[in-house]
Amino acid sequence: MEFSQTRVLVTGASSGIGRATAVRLAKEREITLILSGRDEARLRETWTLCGERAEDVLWPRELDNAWAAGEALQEFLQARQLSVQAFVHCAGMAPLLPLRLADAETAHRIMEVNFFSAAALLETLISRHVNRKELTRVVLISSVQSQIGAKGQGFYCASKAALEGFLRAMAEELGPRVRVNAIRPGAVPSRMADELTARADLLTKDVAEGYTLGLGMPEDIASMVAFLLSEEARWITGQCFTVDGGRMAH
Amino acid sequence: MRTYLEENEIRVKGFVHCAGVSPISPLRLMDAAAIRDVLAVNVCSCLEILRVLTARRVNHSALKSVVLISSIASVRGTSGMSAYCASKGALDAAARALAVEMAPHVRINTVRPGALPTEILEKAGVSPEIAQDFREHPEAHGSLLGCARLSDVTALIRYLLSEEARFITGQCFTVDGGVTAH
Repeated sequence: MEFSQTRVLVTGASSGIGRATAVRLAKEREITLILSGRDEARLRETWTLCGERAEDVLWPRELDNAWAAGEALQEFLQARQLSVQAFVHCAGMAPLLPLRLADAETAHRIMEVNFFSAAALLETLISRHVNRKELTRVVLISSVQSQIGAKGQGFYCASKAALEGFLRAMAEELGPRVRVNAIRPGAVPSRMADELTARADLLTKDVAEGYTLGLGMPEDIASMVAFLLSEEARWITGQCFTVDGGRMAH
Repeated sequence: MRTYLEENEIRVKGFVHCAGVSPISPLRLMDAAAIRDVLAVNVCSCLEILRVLTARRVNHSALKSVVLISSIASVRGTSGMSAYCASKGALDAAARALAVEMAPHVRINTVRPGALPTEILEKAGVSPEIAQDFREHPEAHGSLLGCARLSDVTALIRYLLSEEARFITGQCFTVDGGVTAH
């Protein structure tokens, strides 16, 4: 695949799909990274897995206050004099929250981390004052759960559907300079997914029987991120690409 | 085809169905044969080929990945394109069923391109001037990213055929410069 000289901001890089994405992108000579996540120690591990490249930087940051994070990103980029050409949003939380147990704080937090933070960071990255016109590619990690429901995941499903509605509007609003797409992973083991798989009573037989190709690996998603960021995907925007082992085919 | 494969001892690992016709005609001017012809070339031929490629005695379970070329016409209606749209919708639906049926050894997906620089319109009887104008003004029919090159689609086909796409099956991938996004 071909890449132009690109610095990529990857959120959720401390584990799971975000980590796999960072490791995959670090294999490309033209790509440098800003690794973002909540846990600095795990971000450092990701940086090691990426080859301890001097050109990669860490930006440890909570995303549960979206616009504060947006402002913090602005300060970070200006302080380090960095420009960002691509943004991959892998950060996300999927706590089991059945409606009957839902509280405002958790519901808002899910929307803030999963959806609003992507919008706020994107706002910073398209700000001419901060990043000039450097940003050209965005990939948001959505989920098959944007399309299919599951017990205890109402707010998670809503947050992923929100990301997808938003990206279609952004594809039109920010095009042609910026391409905006999403990937819908199916079941992929990760720290985020651990909480779901631990609660077997809330799972259907779905996971065992619904995935015709079994469970995916974070690398399967990372590979599609790389494709969507590459020159090969220059005519693709406003789309959601599903990588789910056949879960949504039936 | 069965004979050809057997006589030449060829094993087919990947199949890409690009063949397709796109006659442009209001339904009231099409006869039964014309409608059947579109479905025959665009859909039935593909299923026939897949049947041969999945016959164990012919292809010995060599088939691994299939990509069918559908179209944004599968999801967007256009006057004069009823048979074509029907055929592309058929391909997408067939791929979903076959993804389940042929799992886990064979993956199948479709690619939905927008308007590409091919001669499909000329072959449908559209005048070269009109066809060229259509291709040169993609923003007029909704592209956010200008004109396509054929490599924009072939790159994705190559990806879907490869091992990097090992977890992808039963899905449709749209490459259309954003037409269907708005």
